Amino acid sequence: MKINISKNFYLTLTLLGITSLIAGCSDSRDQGVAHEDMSAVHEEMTAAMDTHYPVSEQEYNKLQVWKYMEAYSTSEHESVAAELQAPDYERIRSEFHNMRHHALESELMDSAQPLSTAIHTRRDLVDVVMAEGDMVAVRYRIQGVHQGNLYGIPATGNAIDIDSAAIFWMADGKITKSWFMADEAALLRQIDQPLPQREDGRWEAGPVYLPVTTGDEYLAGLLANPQDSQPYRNKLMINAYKSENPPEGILPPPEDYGTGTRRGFANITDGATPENAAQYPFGGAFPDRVDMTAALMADGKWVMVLFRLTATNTQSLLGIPALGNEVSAYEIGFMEFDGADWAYRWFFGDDLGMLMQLGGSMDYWFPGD
Amino acid sequence: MNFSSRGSRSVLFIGMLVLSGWQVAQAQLVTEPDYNKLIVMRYMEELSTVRHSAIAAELLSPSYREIRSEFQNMSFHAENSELAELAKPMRLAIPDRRDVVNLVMAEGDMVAVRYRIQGTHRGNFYGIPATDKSINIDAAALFWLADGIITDAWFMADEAGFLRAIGQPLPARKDGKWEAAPINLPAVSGDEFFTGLMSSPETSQSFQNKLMVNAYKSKNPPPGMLPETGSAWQRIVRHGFSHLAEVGERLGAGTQNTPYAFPDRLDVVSNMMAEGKRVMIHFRVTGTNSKSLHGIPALGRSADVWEIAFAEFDGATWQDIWFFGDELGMLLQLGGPQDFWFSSSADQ
Repeated sequence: MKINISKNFYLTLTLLGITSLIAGCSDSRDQGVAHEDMSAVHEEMTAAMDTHYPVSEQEYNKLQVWKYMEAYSTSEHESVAAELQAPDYERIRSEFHNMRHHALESELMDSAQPLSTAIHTRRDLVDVVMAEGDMVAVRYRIQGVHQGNLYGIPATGNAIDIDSAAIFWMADGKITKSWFMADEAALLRQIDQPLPQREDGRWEAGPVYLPVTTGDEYLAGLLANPQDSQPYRNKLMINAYKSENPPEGILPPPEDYGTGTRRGFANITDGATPENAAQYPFGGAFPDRVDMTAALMADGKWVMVLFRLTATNTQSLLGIPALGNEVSAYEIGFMEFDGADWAYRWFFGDDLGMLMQLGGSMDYWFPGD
Repeated sequence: MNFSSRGSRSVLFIGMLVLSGWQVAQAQLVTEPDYNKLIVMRYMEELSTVRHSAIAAELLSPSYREIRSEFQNMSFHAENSELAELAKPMRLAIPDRRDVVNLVMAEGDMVAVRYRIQGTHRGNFYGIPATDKSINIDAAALFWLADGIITDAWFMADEAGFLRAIGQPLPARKDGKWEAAPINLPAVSGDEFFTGLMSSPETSQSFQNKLMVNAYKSKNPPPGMLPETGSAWQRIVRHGFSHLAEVGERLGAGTQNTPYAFPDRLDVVSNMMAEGKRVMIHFRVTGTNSKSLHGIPALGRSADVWEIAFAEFDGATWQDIWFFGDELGMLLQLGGPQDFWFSSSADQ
């Protein structure tokens, strides 16, 4: 709303100014009146400029998303959403996408309570907000207590503290599309409950949307529009890291890839026994693995990459029997640069989706039960 | 070109209007607090990177004043001594330092930030040789801006948390001086601050929340503003003097908290702000230390120690509160032993 008012205000000023000039030129008797109008306009304009500052579209989008996320788990969410979401707003993926999809059209959904009840005293701790083009990416943590039925899982009273990420697409300062991913596997581990079985026996991961391209294709696109900026060069480096055939000179040696602060499929990796981890390492499970890029952005010291691990599961993954299933699991990475140095890497994958796509046992994280 | 004539001024003004209209078509307009928030966010993003100097040159006013630094007590303690000569710059002392910003809020010309400092102690830090220990400590900062640049800043890092993480007490100076960093910034009693707020009342929920937090820090809060019994908030996320309390608990002195140790405790408020669901209050705990504080013997000294708190509301419900006090400053002001954090009785 603010943008349109501001734009109209200045357009009106501009037109009024031109009209006044024409009036001033055509009839000198009106010149005094025109100048009085102009003075009033000038004062109004100066007052507006005193209290408002121009920012880029990306910065504006960042503020809008920030406001949206601040209110996300509060009672003001609906009113803020009504203000910030475009009328044709579309949520491409929800935070608990797999759990929700698994419960849909089943008795699990009948027993499920609203998220605000299921995760009581929920709060979201946002630690990264970055923007480029029409996109804004957010990294945050969801904290709360599991005090209601969550997609078929009765309240356990356990505290949760899980990683999450979201991407927003903006137009005219409004959110038109969003993509969310919460660490559902970590949630299940923290409440110590496997995903419950549906009465009809269906096990299906949430569907995957968003177009993707290979890292090589994405890199070709970036190189076609070169920019002379450090964020662009950082973005190229991360794109090259996700390419099958990176051009020489873009990627540093692997020892300079930055300190890892989180592994992509951390829950699946952490859930493996030491024997299975040694015998069936992650890398061996998908000999034809190709990471397909959905989005890539850079802002200041940050680079975000959203991609899908796609492959055929021909070898056991950390002890999960290989059924030859196709997998296409989302992963998002937030990279932190110190100037031109890749300082930190943080990856977060859809562990629950991966496990479901592999057809693995839902007791994977609870072997003792 | 002569712009003194009315006609020329009109042409210039019209040009300015047209240009402004064009510029607005390219950019969005935001309020001063939102703009300030973006500036501070950008500053914080590069606080510990190689680009810090360049960003500082761009975003700090020529008259920029750092009212308090992150490691103010350690820095002040080392000043003009052999400790400062041994000290390495921050980028060498904690070379892998990164700052994780958890919260940014703004009101008027002020911006408040809550963040964590992470890294490894790899070089001499204000006289303490490298320990190679990891640190992950709380920190907070306040910024004041004018015309889109930072004019003043106040920082506070959890120095006690740092010392505990590296397992080292503050080292003694050769001259034997032990002194907490001086306090600046004016402050008034909670009651006076409250009167000031009430003199310009607003109808917003943020203002009401600010009043409630201010009332909590007042000696004479207006009736009905705070619950008669129990806490005003649902959850306390962090205690102001959490390290002292933790060690005190292990010493069997958990109940010797600040109200016990300072019977005349008076909190004086320096700054407050509210934005959306959050309220920040920046205050000082003042009092005479007439009884032991968590096992630190009382020497009858006066204390005047910074504390900052961030409260979170859902509508009018005060959900949680996060306090963070200058615990190293408190220990120095009280004249307590610097190995308090590591005393053998505490480890039993």
